[in-house]
Amino acid sequence: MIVKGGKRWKRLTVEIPPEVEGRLRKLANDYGFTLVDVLKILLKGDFLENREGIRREDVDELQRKVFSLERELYELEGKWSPLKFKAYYLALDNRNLSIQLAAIIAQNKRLRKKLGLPKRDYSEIEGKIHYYLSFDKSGGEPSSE
Amino acid sequence: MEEKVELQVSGEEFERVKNRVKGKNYLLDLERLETTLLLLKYRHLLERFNEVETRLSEVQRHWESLVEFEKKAKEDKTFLMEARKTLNEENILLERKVMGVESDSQRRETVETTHG
Repeated sequence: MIVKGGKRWKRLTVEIPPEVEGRLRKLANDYGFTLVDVLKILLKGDFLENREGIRREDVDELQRKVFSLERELYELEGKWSPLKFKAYYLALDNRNLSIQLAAIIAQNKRLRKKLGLPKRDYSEIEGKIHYYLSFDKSGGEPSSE
Repeated sequence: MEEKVELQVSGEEFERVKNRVKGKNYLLDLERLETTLLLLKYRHLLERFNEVETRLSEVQRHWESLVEFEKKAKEDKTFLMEARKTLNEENILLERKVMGVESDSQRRETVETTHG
């Protein structure tokens, strides 16, 4: 292998014995590094001290935990779009119903007045109408009821 | 090593590499290399674990509010449809009453005009 260094052209050729090369390739493969990265650490001597006493089993255990969390996340993200789509169209239906109901309530008020009947309480319906009429068609949920 | 691998290092690092290669010390450091790779992998996994955990709790929070919103929207749809039906039926009845009242008063007006 060739090591190039500094701004000025310096070159060093290093012969790696085949048995060491085999070991390095295995290490690179086992720990998910490239051979170049492994060689760099080895030749520069940039080693870390294992003060925390981390063992191979700890790495495997953590790897399992990461896979499990990732799977949970992907599953949830997979369910996300269909539900969002469903909720969006429900809110849109409610928006259309609210437009119709606003007209029906106006008509009801007019007829009751004409017949001298007492006013009806529309507060619950009107609360919902107000909520869905503020529904953002671009996909956002209404801010408050 | 059959294939040619090239490493680019800084001037200072080059001297370090040169000295290590000269003494062939590097060949004795395979255990330390493995420990380093183990620790680097552990750190990387720990970082990934924290990242995914944060993202998951964020998605879970949004998911719960979306489920809540969907449930409420479904209930509201039923409520609004029921309200539309009730008020529509009432309006038809009231409309008939108004028509009846109006035709009664028209009839009265006609009778009064004829007798008058």
